Amino acid sequence: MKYEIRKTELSECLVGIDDDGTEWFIPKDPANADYQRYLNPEAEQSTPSVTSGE
Amino acid sequence: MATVTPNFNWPVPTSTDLVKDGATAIEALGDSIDASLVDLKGGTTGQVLSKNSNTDMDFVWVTDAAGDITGVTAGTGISGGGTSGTVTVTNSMATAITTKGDLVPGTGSGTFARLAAGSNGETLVADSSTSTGLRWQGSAIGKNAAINGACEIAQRGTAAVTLTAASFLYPVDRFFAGRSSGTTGATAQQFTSTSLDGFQYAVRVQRTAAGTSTNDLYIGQSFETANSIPFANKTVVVSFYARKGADYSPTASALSVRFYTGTGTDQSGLGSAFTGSATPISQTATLTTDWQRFQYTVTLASTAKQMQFLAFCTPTGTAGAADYYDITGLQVELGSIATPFSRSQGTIQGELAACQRYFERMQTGSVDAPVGMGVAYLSNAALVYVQWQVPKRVIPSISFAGTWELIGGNTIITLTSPVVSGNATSVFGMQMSGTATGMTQGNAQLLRAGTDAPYIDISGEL
Repeated sequence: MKYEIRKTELSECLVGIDDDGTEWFIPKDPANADYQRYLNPEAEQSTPSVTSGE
Repeated sequence: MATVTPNFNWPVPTSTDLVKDGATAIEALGDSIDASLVDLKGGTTGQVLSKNSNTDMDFVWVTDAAGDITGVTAGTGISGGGTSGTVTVTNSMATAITTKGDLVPGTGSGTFARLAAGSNGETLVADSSTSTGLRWQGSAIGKNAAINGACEIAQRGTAAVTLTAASFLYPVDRFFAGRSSGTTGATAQQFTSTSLDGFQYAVRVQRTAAGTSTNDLYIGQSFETANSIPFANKTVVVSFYARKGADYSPTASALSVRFYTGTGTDQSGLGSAFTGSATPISQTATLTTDWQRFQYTVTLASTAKQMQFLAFCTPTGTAGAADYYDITGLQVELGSIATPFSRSQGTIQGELAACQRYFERMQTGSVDAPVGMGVAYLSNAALVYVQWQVPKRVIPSISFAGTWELIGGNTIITLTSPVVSGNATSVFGMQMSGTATGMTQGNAQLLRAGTDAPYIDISGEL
């Protein structure tokens, strides 16, 4: 996901853009998972992966 | 002057009667005695005299029914007994009951034990792991922590989603899907299950035919902290139904099953990366082309504050046309044995509302149908309030698709560039703004759906 800050007459918005172009208005709320990923995109928990094998 | 004897009323002379009348008196007395004792005649050897009616001196000779019991021995479920005198026997099952509500179920052949009544509102369920085969458990409604476990709710649509390692995708509500690496060649999709009793839907995770990628393909569900804490330090059973396609390629038809816990709060991503991550369930289910129910029991740590179910396969070789696994009926409940599946909220409407705590697609399904009201604060800009159907877990992220219209007075205008600012959004709704030339400043504005089936996605997912 890419991010951009979009300013309007009334406020400033954080917008996340998916690979398919879908735009998400992300609130600056520490509990919001999208905002967590914006703040810490390298965090291990934001990178899905599993270990195969038993 | 004759009289009678006091007990049998036999006629006898009085002491002043004349002697000459003695013979007559003796004859009368004899006849009377003879008549009274007539029932004593007859009988055979061994017979005993028995009363024939309640009438005095009415007897009959009968065969003696002599008893042949020489002792009473307590059998199964009975205590006491004896060989002489008054014998007492006691029902041991009755004495096992000590308290109101006690039950006395069997524990084996000819054995039993007391089962105390459960707590108020609990129901009795079969449980082969207990000595009595029974267990009291909490109410069936709400027993299942897995929301949309039957894969019925698919607000984002039922088209196949192409799995990617970049992010979670949701083929049905609350179930994320993804892959360990790569971006193409595998999908997840809700489909109609026509062969599993009690279930209409499942999710199919499939490798695209002729594909050679062997990345792990997974599906799972995360449980927020508020819904995980009730399971901490408790025995939990995780169950689900699964089957494979005819070309399922993983070695030995394996489907890996994980159940993660974490000590953090409402973290996103895979459970393997949770703070304080633990994997109390790490098993392999062996799939067949027929539906099977799998269940795994574990006691969670007292520190567990998050839970996550994950199932994944590791494909091999080149994919055939039916290299897939199907899964549905996820249930996470307290106890040591899986009970029959039930929706987490009991009803389909409850299940939808539970899903919408995390994600909601606001799509009217009808052209011109309104979703919010607002005001033109400029002649080319409006503010509109839109309320969610269900309050969200957190202040959500919002995305718009399609065409929305504003109608104020008798003017209909297409809204362009809808925007939501973070400080104008709450768990209950949003204040969105947008531009649309031709409005009259101060006019009320109705936000309604255009002709291309527009929608607003509202996401408070983990």
